[in-house]
Amino acid sequence: MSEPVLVTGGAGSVGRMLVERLVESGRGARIFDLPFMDFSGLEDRNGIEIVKGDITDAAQVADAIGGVSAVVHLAALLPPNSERDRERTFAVNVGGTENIIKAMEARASDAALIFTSSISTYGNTTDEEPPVRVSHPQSAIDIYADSKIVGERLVRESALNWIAMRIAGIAVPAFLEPPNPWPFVAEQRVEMVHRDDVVDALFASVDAPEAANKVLNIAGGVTWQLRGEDYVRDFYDFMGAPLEDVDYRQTPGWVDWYDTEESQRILQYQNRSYERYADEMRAIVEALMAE
Amino acid sequence: MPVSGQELLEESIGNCRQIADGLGTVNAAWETSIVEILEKFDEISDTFFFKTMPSVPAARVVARESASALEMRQSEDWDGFGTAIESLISSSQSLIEKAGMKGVTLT
Repeated sequence: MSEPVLVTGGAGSVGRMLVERLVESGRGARIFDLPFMDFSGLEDRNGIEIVKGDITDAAQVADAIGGVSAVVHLAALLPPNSERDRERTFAVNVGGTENIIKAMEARASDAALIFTSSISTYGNTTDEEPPVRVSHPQSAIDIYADSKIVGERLVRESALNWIAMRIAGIAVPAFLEPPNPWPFVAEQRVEMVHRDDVVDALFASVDAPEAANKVLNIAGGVTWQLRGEDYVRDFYDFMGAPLEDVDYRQTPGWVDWYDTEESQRILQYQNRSYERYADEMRAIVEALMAE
Repeated sequence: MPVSGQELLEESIGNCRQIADGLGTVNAAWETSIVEILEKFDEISDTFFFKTMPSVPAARVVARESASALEMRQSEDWDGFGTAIESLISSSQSLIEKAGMKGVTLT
């Protein structure tokens, strides 16, 4: 087995799926995540190392970096938690990224850093002509986006080989609570991405020399380009819930349609259309009805 | 017009309140169990889960079993009531677990 890929936040939902893909492919995976996370199913597995620690602790991060072939940096505070405490969010999302960069520069300077940024960094683009391209200026409208802009800048200014992936809102095929409020106004352009396509993109990026030192938009593609009200209507339809008491943002959020031509050409990750996601959701609900 | 999971839950809450009323004089453990279930039902009432179709089958079972237990309580059929209460507790726990939807849609 080759040198492992370090996955920060590797015990989370996307992290776990990525780790499984890495192990299946014959690459080792080293998970770095908080000690209180659920590591069940990951421990005592061939090809999986677990390092329990805090991304804000530089020494713990440095200990986890040695001998890795790449780092996929997923660990972050996400909305809504990120919006409660700016200092804490910056400590995790910016300070944690800084710790990764310093440790890699010192101990794994040949390894690639795959940084998970966000399309939220574009801010409100509703008055512009879609699609939003990676050349679009970044302008945060919340703490999370602000922290990702700063973190991404640190990565781009580093001496490492890096890839910055600005990932769209992730649609999870599962029976879940809707967000409250929805992070867009009803008529706003919305392009999400299937969770498993994000995993495909991350996995492909680990061995994608053409993506080196590029910023890439990661979104679902043309079948996912909807209006907010259409996405919400479908969600309630999948769940068999009446379309009532839907709470949208009062002002436009940071969602839009994205130019993903380059990311798709390099990473070949848009494998699940919106129609497929819809079928998955209906099947999940049908299975629940039959229980 | 299909009955919603929320309507079925409210029907069950009404039945359980009537079942619990004065039940301690017959069997304190039964009363405690029903009161605990009622507390849980109050917690999960009006959540998104009970607006969805998948809530209906599980909530219908609880409504049916609570109605059956109430009927036995009112007719003082204590032999049948013990079995009915056990079944109601089991189906209620299943409903409460299902209502605990995991996570929030990522956006």
